[in-house]
Amino acid sequence: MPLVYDELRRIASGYMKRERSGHTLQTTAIVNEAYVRLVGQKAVQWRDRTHFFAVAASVMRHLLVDHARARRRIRRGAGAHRISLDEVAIVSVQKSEEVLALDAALNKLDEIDPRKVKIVELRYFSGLSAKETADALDVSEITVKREWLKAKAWLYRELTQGTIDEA
Amino acid sequence: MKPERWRQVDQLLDAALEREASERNTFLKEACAGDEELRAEIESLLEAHERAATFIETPAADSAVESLVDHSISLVGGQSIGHYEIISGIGSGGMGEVYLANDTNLNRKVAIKLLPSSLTADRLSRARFLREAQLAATLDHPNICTIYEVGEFGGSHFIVMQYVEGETLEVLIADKPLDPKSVISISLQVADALSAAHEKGIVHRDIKPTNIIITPRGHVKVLDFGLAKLVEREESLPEELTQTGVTLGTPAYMSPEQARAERLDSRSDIFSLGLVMYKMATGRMPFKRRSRPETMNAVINEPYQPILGVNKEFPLELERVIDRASMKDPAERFQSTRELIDALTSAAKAAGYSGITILDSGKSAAILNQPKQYLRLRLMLGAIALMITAVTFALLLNRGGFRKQVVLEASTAQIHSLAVLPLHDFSAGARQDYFADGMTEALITDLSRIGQLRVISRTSSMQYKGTSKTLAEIARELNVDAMLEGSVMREGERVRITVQLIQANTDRNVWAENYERDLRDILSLQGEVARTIAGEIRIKLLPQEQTGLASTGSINPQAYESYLKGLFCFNNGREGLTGERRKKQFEKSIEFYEQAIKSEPNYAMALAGLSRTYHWLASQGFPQFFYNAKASAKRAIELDDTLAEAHGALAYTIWNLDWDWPGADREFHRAIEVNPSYSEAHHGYALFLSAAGRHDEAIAEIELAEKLDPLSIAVKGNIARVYIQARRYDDAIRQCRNALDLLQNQAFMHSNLGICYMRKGMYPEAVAEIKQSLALIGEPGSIPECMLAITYAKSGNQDKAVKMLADLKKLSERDHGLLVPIAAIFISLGDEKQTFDALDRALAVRAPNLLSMSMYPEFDVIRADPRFVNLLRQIGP
Repeated sequence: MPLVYDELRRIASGYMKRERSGHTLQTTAIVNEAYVRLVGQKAVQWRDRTHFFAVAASVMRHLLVDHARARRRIRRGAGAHRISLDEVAIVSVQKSEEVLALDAALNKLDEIDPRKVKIVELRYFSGLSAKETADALDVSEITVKREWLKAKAWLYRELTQGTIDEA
Repeated sequence: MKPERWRQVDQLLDAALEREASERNTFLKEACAGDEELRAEIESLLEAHERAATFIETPAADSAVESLVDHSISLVGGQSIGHYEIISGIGSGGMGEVYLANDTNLNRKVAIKLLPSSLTADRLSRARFLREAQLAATLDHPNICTIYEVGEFGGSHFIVMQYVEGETLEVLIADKPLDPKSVISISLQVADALSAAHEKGIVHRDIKPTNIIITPRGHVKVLDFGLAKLVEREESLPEELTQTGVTLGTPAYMSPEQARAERLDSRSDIFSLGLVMYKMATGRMPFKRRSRPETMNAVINEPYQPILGVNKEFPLELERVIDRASMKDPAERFQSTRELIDALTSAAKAAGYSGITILDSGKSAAILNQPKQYLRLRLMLGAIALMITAVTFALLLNRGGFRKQVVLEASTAQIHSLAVLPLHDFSAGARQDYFADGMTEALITDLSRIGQLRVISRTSSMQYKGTSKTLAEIARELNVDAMLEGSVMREGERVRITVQLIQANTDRNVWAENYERDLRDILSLQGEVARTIAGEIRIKLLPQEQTGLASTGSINPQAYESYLKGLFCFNNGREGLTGERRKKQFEKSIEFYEQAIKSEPNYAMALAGLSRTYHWLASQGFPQFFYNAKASAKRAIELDDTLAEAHGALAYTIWNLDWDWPGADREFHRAIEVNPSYSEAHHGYALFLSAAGRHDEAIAEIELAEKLDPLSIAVKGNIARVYIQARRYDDAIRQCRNALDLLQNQAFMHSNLGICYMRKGMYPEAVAEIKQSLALIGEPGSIPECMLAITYAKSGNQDKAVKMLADLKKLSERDHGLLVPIAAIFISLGDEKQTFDALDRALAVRAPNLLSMSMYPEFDVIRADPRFVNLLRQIGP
């Protein structure tokens, strides 16, 4: 994981420097490059495009979760001494919590409906559009959209249940 | 839940979602057929669905990937945010990074402040941010930096502001008191800006010298109105964040009520302005302490040192005004900026600073003597304020005097040296290194023509290609005052160049410009850039410099392209390669230059480049090419006498080929005259002077070459050599050691060091160093090998020297460069006959290193010998 992280970090920084007109980072391109570099070198044969995107998306998910955990550690450890603003600025705290909670919920959903998890990974963690997700999974765009709505509903309920009970 | 059960839920959920919301209840009742648990499950999911509209719709990926990026450099020149194209970073502060950008719609320069994403992470602060920014954007005042727009980019908010050229007050003060007139003028302008904001209920909250910009015309602009409020975030934040939030501002200019986190009103700004005035009057921060809590405590509880105690010359009347503005209790201060302005004007008058100038676009529009009258007039003018582009509140002072005292002090006059960093290539498609690199070199060449400016040579500059070093680090390494950086973008026959000049010590953007031209006009564009820079840094060009930079005429783009490729191959060969590969690059360079000349026969620059490549190739052991070097250099000079490359190549060539010492001297001189920062000419001239026995001049020239090309290995190696030839061995040793500290494993340095030890009679050390050099060279038949033999001959190991000689003599049949050193071995062994045999042979083949006989003090013993005298006469000088 640290290897993937470092590599992604390096590539992402490179993209930022090289990017001429694009104002968003091309996340897919970065993931692509990272994975081709890291795994491709070890001669992993991609069964197909779907396989590649699935792996890339789960790399992204792990990466984000790792990152969010690290963020949380920094916050907790920081009770005694102040943290620098730069550290906080990197990823908003809320996003970190969201990512971690979502990760746990996704693990649960994976037990009953792995396809929805794949879709969420591709869309939320890898930033693919519905169309791109459909292409990557080789299903119709309508299917992706439908599954996405249901996955969202399920995850939302999962994530808000606790708070509703408390209230 | 079991997967089977979930499939059932999933399918029914689909079916329910396909129906109108109103039909869903009926549908579910029917479909679940009494399975209440199933129905409850689906209903709760439907409810979640209704509420999850925006949930996870914004991918985490983008913000995460962005989070991986080093935020201190999150935008670079050439990137765009909407219709703003980033030119460069201007600086960064607690409240985010600031960039200079071009508004491509209106084609004007703007400043963009990118706020840290944490400031606007949640919806609450986002709304607040927008509210504050909107409020601040309503401010329209000549002394307030106007906010044009706010927006969002990659999760961070940005503010587009008027771009104001000038110095921050912090830089202007530079820890030294300003003269009272400037203090008055600046304070009045800041107070007037505050007055306009306070009328709208906006408290600045962060008045400090870094938020006040003084333009070159002496006009004041106050930055960041209301922004400080955004970072305070009193409500709804974890304690740690509030802490860091507040840390953003410097507490040294905070008001006591601010330090105590009490409610603020406009009088807090008056206090801060009072402290800013104190700083202007004394050059010191009144409450600066070692730590933040101590500073805050001082702000709240301690009096400051009286101004007159620090600056005896400061007018008492003005001191009183500042003291009143800086009272700890808000009730004791001026209650409004208007009161402050009135008090300041009367105090100024009492102190003898009278005469008011209102400037309209730099022209004196009205001169009034009465402050009151002035204020009345200003009110009258209010209606037409928009028409007056710059109502400079250069009150009570003579404008010329102000400029001299305040502005010029902090001007860019201190730029005496400059490095052109490798231009970035933003061309679409395949990278064209040769194009961007060629443009970089062309700019260096043109700027080098400016005599008063030291411009770092290409070899040193290019080492920063793709560097991650900061500008400050680079400036330190190259020892320059300023840097030029930028980018080129080529689309077909159009070329676009963005350049900006940055002052190294302040990191300030002195100047930035965008040029878009036809490739045909590239030559005049390069000259134009150089001329503009000279103007910006206030260097007066001499007439011949002006002519040199006014090279006009269009160029055939194809020829230009070939020229750049020729240059690229030359540099490739010269800087990165050795041996056969270097030769190959030189040959390719010649080919490209020939192509350029073919399509444009009078292309002087290409001919000059050609002569340069030829003379380098010739010095690599192919002396036959000196003839080509000479011919192309002469032709280039016929076409354009101001090309330093051609003069340099010609100088070196006629020295080596014709042993024409006076001619070479003239040509070196001319090369340096037309291009004073051309390090190659200084370098070559140093070797020439050293060979001619003019050691002091040689040392001066080589040291100049090093200043111009601090990272060049060749120059470093030859510094030692020039000292060796001057027989200043201790200095040479120092130079070698310095060079070896920077660059290990340089064969040249080790052999130079060995030679020094040998000359000093430290034979074991000499042998060790030379052997190290030989190990790095790895090939038999080198000059260091001859030096080893000389060392042996001198240190009682004659047999070893004799043994080495046998092989060396054989090699010298092909490599004539060995003849002179072999002669030196023989003379060290006391064999005069063989010495002269070798020297005669060297003379017969005109061996190149006959020109560096001074490298060998061994010949001292035969210096009086008529044969030797005759030899030296033939070689010159």
